Amino acid sequence: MKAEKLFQALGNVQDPYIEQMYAYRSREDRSRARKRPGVFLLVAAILSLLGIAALAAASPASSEKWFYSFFGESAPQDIESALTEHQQQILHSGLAEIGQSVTREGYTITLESGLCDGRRALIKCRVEAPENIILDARKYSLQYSHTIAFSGGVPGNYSASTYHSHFLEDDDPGDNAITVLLDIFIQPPENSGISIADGTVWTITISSIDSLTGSPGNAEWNTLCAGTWEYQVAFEDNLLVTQSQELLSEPVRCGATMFIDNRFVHSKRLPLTAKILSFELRSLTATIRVKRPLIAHFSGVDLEKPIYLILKDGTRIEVTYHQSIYREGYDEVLCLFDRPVSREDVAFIELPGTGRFSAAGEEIR
Amino acid sequence: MDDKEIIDLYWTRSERAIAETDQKYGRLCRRIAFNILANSEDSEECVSDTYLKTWNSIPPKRPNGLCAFLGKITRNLALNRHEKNTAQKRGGAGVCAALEELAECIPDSRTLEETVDSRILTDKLNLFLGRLSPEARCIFLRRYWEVCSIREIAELCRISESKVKVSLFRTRGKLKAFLEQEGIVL
Repeated sequence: MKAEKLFQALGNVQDPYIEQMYAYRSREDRSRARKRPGVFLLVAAILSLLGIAALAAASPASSEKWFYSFFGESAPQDIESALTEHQQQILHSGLAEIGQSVTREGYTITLESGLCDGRRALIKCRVEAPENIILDARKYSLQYSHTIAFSGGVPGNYSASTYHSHFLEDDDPGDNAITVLLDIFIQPPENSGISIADGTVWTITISSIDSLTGSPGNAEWNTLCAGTWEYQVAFEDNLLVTQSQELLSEPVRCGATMFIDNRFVHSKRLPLTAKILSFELRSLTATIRVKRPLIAHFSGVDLEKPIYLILKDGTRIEVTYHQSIYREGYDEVLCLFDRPVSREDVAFIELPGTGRFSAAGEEIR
Repeated sequence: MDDKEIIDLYWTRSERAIAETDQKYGRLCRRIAFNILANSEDSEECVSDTYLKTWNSIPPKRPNGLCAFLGKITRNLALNRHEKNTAQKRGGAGVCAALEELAECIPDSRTLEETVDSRILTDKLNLFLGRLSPEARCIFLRRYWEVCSIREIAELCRISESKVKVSLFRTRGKLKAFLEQEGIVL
């Protein structure tokens, strides 16, 4: 009944979302439509001028390809060409080897390598089943039930607020192995100084491997194997990846919108604003502290448009909401990007209804 | 014919409005109905009911566009019929699968205080959808609004099935966290 209530409520979402859904074309589809032979030739000519050495430097090592797949969710060659030099440096220098294997009930899970910016950790895992079991990412998905706990210097334990497993393409669907990506987020207590990229040892415990089986539209989860796979992980500080930078020199008021009766309500006579207290940029995440108007306690209030980072080459990167927690007097929102961000590449930040602010925190008139 | 012209036909009470609606949106309405009902005959009746309800609603209503307007009516009528069919034990496996997946998004009620009514829940869902990327929103709505299969979504969005599954998995996790954050109990 509860899921039905959610399903029924979804039936009344705003019309623009439905219209956008029908009008939507994927990024791959759009890029296919945009492709012009002339542009391709121009790029090839520029690359040949830069020389083969430059091409080799830009090419990712094989151990980094999983990361490209995750960020781009597209062909590695596409995302590679879309990354700036600094973004490639982040991927290259931030990748840390973990190399820990645990076998339970014939299933071996190896944490191979990872990348961490202090608030988010991406860990590549390889799962190997007993010889007689085929793991095919096209037919199966694997899900982990796991907890995160910190030890050594951190009083008590602290669990990550959310975690996900992402599934990469299966190189060999007929074998007994599959590669997955753990995506872990943490919003530590205020002023605790906790980071997951300062050498602090933390524990990841995986308690089951589940498979998604059945036909599309009629799938179900089954537990393949239950057990305890435990790992001690520590990411060292890496200035290129874990550097955090405050982008606002002082709080900024942004345009906000209220939702009433399934509609955006925007009154010119009573304009709503939300105060952005700070915008802390890291390579994989941003932490935004926002104070919403009092009316937010009674009705939904959100920024009227997304926040964008504008890179020096003109690329617009949407700052995507991931999760938030309420602090005393404000919301702390953890946001993600669709690719790693280098502080040096950011020209300015675009805040809704107010303007553009340089990476040094000054408003651009 | 654009939507405004078709809506004008409804306002002038021209029966051509139905024919034009069917020509432009018939396929869409049939797909929505069939995804929920999994039965051609029931779907066809549902689409006819959609046109009748649209005829009775315009005027007085003057929607901005017909796509979402017709889609919502079809979805609601199909769900009503699905409920009736479920009571009679026939059809609708796609809806059951979608419902099972959505059950993952339900927060643990022991940690929260009060039950939310459906209007507030819709407000929250609008807020949540607004925070998703256009692609994630499209995939989520295709699955849980239009009840498309994973394969259909992959074909419609021209992306791989695994990418659809990954996106849905992520979005369900985000929705659960969001509903918990907002203190929603279903």
